[in-house]
Amino acid sequence: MKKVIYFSSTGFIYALVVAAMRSGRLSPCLPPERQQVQELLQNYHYEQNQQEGLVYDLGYSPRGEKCLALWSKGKEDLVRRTITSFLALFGQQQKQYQLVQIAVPAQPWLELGRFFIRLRPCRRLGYIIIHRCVLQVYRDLSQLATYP
Amino acid sequence: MKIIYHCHGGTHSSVTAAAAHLGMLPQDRLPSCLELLATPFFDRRVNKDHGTITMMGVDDCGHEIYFVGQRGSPRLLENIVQGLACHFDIPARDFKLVNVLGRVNLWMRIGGKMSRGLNWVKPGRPLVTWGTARAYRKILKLTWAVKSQCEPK
Repeated sequence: MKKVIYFSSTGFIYALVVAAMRSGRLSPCLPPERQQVQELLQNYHYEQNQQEGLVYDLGYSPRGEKCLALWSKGKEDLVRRTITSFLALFGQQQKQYQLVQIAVPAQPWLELGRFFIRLRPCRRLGYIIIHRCVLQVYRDLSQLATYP
Repeated sequence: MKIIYHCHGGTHSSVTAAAAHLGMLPQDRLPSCLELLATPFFDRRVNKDHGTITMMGVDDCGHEIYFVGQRGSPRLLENIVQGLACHFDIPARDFKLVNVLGRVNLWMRIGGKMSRGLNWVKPGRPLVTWGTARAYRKILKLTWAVKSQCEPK
């Protein structure tokens, strides 16, 4: 079974959103409501756990591919080489997985939103900011989800 | 089992640990600077090699010994490797990650930065080599601990 690994060096939320689109949790055509983005992040305990490199499983796409998401703060070259060399060590061939880098520019507002959702009184504001940031790049993200 | 030593640049402490584990460096005394410089990959890897898990050899127990640079993000490397292992059905007993960064001294950091980071090889290489020789005892102890944990029962 093939695995699609989405990784982003500019914000984990993007990797999660693209993987969610691929697995059918979000529609690639219709931009999500704030509640949908919030539920997605809450399902993965993103408020408490924003560690780099954690691999999240978003389920299966209609084609039966397993959709995975991870992020790092920069270091995309390091992440790419780590993934490919580690999987090669264990005999996982390139055709068994697909590594998709989400090259969406970093947005300072997204960082602010990430910071706010960790603070309980500012959580709602954080989700509003994150939702707006996601909407701004949703078309680019949907293209990655449809044609990785 | 695959034992992966990792450090910042994957070219000084992790290479030394891998070489010590394999018996390529002395087990009963400190290595000379020439011995360290003759170790494969020592002070040779560059920025674009970070993340590439490279094989150093196979030890007496049949364990494959690797090293890798994680650019100062051990948690990132560990999370990726453990996450992938989980999703690709790779048993956790088949690999072991060993962080050597804690055995690095100030001289290694300064010399390593000069030699690899700033490409000032002439002053940086002797400094990092000297620093590695000073830190060798700690690195060697780490490899002994790893060996004892990975011995076949």
